[in-house]
Amino acid sequence: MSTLIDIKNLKVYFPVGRSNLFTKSKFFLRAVDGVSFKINKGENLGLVGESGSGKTTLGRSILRLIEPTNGQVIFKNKNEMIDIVSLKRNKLRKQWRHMQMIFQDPYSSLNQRMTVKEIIGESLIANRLASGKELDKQVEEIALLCGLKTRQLSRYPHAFSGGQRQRIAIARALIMHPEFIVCDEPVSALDVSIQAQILNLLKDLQQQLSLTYLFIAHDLSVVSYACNRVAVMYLGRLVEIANTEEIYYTPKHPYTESLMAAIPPDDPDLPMQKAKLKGEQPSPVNPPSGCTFHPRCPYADNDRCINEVPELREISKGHFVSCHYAEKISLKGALEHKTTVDFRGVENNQQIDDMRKRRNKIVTNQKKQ
Amino acid sequence: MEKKLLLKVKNLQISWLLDKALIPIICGIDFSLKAGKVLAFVGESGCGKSVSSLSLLRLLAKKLKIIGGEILFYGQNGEETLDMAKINPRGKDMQKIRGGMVSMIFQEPMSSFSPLYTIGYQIMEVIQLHKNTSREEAKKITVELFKKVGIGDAKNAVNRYPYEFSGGMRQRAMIAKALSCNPLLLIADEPTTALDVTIQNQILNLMYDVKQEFGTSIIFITHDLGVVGQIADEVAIMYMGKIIEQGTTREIFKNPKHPYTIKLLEAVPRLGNLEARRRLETIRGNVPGLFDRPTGCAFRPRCDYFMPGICDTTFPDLREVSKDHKVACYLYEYGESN
Repeated sequence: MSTLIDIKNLKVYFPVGRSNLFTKSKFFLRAVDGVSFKINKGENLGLVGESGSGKTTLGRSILRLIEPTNGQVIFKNKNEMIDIVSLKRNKLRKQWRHMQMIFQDPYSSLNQRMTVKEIIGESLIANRLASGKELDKQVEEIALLCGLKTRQLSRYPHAFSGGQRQRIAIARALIMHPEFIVCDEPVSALDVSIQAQILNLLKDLQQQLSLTYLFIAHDLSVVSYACNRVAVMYLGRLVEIANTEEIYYTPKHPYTESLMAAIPPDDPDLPMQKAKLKGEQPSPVNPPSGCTFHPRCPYADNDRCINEVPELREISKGHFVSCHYAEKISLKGALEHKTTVDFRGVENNQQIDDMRKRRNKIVTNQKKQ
Repeated sequence: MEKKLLLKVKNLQISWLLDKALIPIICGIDFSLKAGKVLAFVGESGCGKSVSSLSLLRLLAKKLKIIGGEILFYGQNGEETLDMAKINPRGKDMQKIRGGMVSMIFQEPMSSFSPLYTIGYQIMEVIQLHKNTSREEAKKITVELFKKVGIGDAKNAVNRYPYEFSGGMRQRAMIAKALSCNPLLLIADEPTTALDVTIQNQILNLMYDVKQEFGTSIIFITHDLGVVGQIADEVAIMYMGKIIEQGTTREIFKNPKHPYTIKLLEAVPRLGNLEARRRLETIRGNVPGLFDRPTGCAFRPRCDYFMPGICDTTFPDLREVSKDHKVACYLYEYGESN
């Protein structure tokens, strides 16, 4: 697997508090604080964390929709290595053809005054890549791929439901035939049944068009379904990154464990999951010393965790953790927390058979009469 | 001991008044709630779950009218019954109930407090209105409540403004406000949807404790079936203004009957079966609009078991398939007799 994007020590700081012409602000909100990881070609990398952990900022700064303060984002394009952070504006525009974004809220990310066709085709027009009939053809093709109908293209966004709007947003991102897409919580504003449709669509598109995703979400079960690798973020830093199976079955960072424990079990016979994580995320303006997770960590000691910042280190192949005691503590994964009722299992097949039989019986009876 | 009945809703119908037409929003729902129990309403957006809960407090917008049915509230000792569907929504009786005996937690903790007053003031206001206490006493009660719902530094927290609270804290304050007059019934309209998983977990725990400690009945409204498994005693699945399946939580989760419920359970991505990583089951299409409600069963255009000539005639009745489990589907209505 080759690397598509290599992120090295990326930092995004926002100044807070008073600043004027002569004095610069002394305080910074460290939204992203020295993050390094690689995104492989054709993979779907999940990025999870609580709100305020900096996952959206990270996603946007990779595309330079937010200017990074420091660091490198290297995009590998056919033996060419392009550092996105240091690109000039006009070159960046060209680079954006290869990298696109899908936003969280399809109710506010689409321009109300443009028809769906204009929304999807806008970037083709802006880049002078197509016009006239060719434009129409390309827009229709992409729209069809995303499950929209040709006759819907002349409508305005208000006429669509949430799920369909998200399809428009996906079509807009795909029109430039990008290689890399940042999906910022693409399904969290949608209903469960529609969420499944969009997740399946994203998966199909990835296979058809060999796309690479950075999939930002706060819902771990969505990520477990969609992604093959997961990165966990806490207070602007990566705390763990590994294959999905490893993250879910053998997490090595206490924060990952507590995120897993917070998911309500789906078996009503199991007892209520006691809240493992007490309190809330501290302010990123004034993060705790040492390991930033230590005030909430049940395994923290009074010495090393408070004073020493843990490095993100590889403890087994492809499994990176930033915890001093990653080898020593044994943590519970998703399996130990809950037994799952498998609705697509044997029992359910029987039920579906039963329902089919019932249906056939009723229909034949009806014909006789 | 058999628990007392607290609330009984009979054939409640709510319509949207347009210039000339009545668009049905809730087309006749029945349910009852016993004291100390938790009932969860689950459904996609637009299925009428919020409207039916708002109608219990008579908080509906002007264009929405209750056109039939009864909402019987049995009160403290189960004797005084009051039909909330009939009384004046602005009258004295309703004001006594609203906030005093029945209170509500809203979805958006951001917008359900006024930004102009301190959180403490907004809670004290409720207590003073319903309990006739002095300011000092109300403040004392508020501080106590804050401690109970787990807001740290309760004494100073009452003097803070909503913007100084995080989302989770605001939701805790919202629960404190709802509990301030020891209500008999708590209506929680998507209380965790706007929150993170970890905070959601804390809030669910808090609501569970509230139920255990105060014996408050809760109506829990959500679109996420996964949330209610532990907290609810009974689940009602709603689709386009009708209850299509109702039963104990265990029955609904382990033995769902209605095609919609099964699909809804399958559509949720789950932990645990990672190896399979199968495609998620989806429900075809979208919820139809209010103006093109299908004839007969409202789910039939999306249903895999659609039977022409049967499903498109009238809406199936909610029938009992086993004890404590009711389904509105023709598959079960005809099947048993043959």
